[in-house]
Amino acid sequence: MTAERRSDLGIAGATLALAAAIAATALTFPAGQQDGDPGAALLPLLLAAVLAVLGATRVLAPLVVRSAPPPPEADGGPEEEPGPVLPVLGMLAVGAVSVWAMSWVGFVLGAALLLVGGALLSGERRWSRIALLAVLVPPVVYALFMWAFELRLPTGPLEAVLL
Amino acid sequence: MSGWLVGLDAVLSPDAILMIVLGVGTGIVVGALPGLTATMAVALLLPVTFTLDPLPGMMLLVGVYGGTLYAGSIPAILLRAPGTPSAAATVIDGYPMTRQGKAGQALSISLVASVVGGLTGTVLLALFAPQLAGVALTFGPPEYFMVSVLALAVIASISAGKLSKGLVSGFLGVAIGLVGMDPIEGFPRFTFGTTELSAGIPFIAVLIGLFGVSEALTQIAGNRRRRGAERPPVGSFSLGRGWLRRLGPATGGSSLMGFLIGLLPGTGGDVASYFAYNETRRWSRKGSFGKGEPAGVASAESANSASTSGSMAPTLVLGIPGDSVTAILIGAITVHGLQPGPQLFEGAPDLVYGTMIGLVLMNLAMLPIGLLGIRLWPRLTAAPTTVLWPTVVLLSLVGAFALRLNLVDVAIALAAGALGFVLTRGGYPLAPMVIGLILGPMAESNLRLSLIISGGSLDWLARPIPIAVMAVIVAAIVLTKLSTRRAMATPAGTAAEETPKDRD
Repeated sequence: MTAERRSDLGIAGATLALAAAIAATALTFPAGQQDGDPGAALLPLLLAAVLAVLGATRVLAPLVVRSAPPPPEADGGPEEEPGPVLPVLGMLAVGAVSVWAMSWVGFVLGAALLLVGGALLSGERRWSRIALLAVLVPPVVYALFMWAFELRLPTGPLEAVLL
Repeated sequence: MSGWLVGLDAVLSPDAILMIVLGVGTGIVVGALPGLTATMAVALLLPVTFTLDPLPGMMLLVGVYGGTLYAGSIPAILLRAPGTPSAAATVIDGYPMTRQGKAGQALSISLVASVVGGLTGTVLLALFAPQLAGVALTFGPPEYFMVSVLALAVIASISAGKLSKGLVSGFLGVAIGLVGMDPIEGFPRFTFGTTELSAGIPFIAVLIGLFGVSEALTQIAGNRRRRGAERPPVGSFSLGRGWLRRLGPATGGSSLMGFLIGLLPGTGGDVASYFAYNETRRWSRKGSFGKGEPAGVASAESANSASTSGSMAPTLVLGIPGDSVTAILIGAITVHGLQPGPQLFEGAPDLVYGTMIGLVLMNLAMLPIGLLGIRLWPRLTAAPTTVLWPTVVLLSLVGAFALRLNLVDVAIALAAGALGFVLTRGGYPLAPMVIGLILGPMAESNLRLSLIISGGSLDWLARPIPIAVMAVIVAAIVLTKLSTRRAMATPAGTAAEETPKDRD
């Protein structure tokens, strides 16, 4: 089973679960108060039915659809499998931690943490380049949003000193 | 004063002109970087427009859109890696030209064809949009319901070879749009008792997550295997002798086809350029297509540029996004308290007519900016992606925060990014999701209003305009399916397998 098919099956299962949850919740919605109005449950129930059918279609896809011929290969090479998931999970974790940290250490330090973590997870190993990125980009973005676009980003002790 | 004069007056302001130039320049830089799509660029710059007036903000985004679409051809021609999905068809003849030492000529053709395609599409938009808006003003809830539901069906149908995946994506977008107060009676749905969700999930945070964060995550996952693409010699930038005679018919015809395909909701520059490329090849009967034929590059590039104007038509006339980029443009308009649709032609002529005139200026600006940097742009294809993608994630999160200065929106953007990554990995297109997110609430409120007006009867379905709209869109589905199937069955389809097409 290919990585795409595994993801496809996971999405199909989640779609079926979502359809069930939407239907169960929508059944508790009140009927419409105006004459002719089917109420707030109409679209959620229709949507739940459609999602259930589509989810089932995706689960059963290989059984009901005769497999298509393999796609032509670029330069005769094999079809590229998607990359590893671990760096992506790492990036999401670094993003969440940085955003949480920004509310008390400020934007510049939080953003520097995100950039360092992101660059390492992307495979960057030149520390000079990582340091340059972490030192230059956050203050530039902060200044740009603060003065050019008049949008106040989270401030912390470092921003207090800089300003 | 007519709408055109009001628009001209507004767009000739220094702010608007500056934003066009900045937008085109930024768009070219972004488009030249492999993997950074037009949708991502426009989504990342959307928060910048919050503090601008509506027209300069729109000019910035439109400039980025046009610039990115043109510059997507640079890595397509040089590296066989389309910078944007719309440039996938450019690879077919552009890359063989590079291998023949004619990369400079291919880049020049791509620039000129993009400008001609963009100008042709804009003239057609300006001719038809005001007339179509006049017709759309007669639309009531039944007509809008039919248009929005069937537009969703068209979008799914063009998810080439992935009908059920396109539909899943579209209806997941509708599901996200359910969160919040119901549009008729204000009953809270799927809010889990929180006040943050009672106004709904912020559409712009979802957009930024889907097209900014998720693309960066996808690229980070693949980054470890892609290292150091070789940059080939570029050669002369001259168009060659008799270029107008050689390339004129292909460019003109493809511009017209690109505009018409762009009119269909959900179709973008990728479908337009494949379709036009195949038709040009069929009509020319030359055996050199696919082996470095300059008319192939001109055809693909002019069609994808013209399709931008085509996709602006349903956006401006009906408030229905023509593609994922115009969905973001709708977000940019609504942030300023305006509702896209035919009423905007009367209510905000400076914005609507100014946008159409701005499209002309944007294309005119692209020629000198593109020519000035034509030797520089190819160097951008070698930018270090290990620092690029974390920066994209940072800018996406800043953009989501800037919307309401709220960290909840940042969390939503991260969650949407994770969802987009998972869907992309499963081969699901993202564009239907964002369009479903816009069309779902529109379809629901218009359906329920139609039922309330008719006392629960479905007689309104038999009115002339709903029947006509249904017939037009069914025809569009059939035509799009046929053209997509034909496009994918040719050597163009070979290139399609290599592109990030489904991400945009």
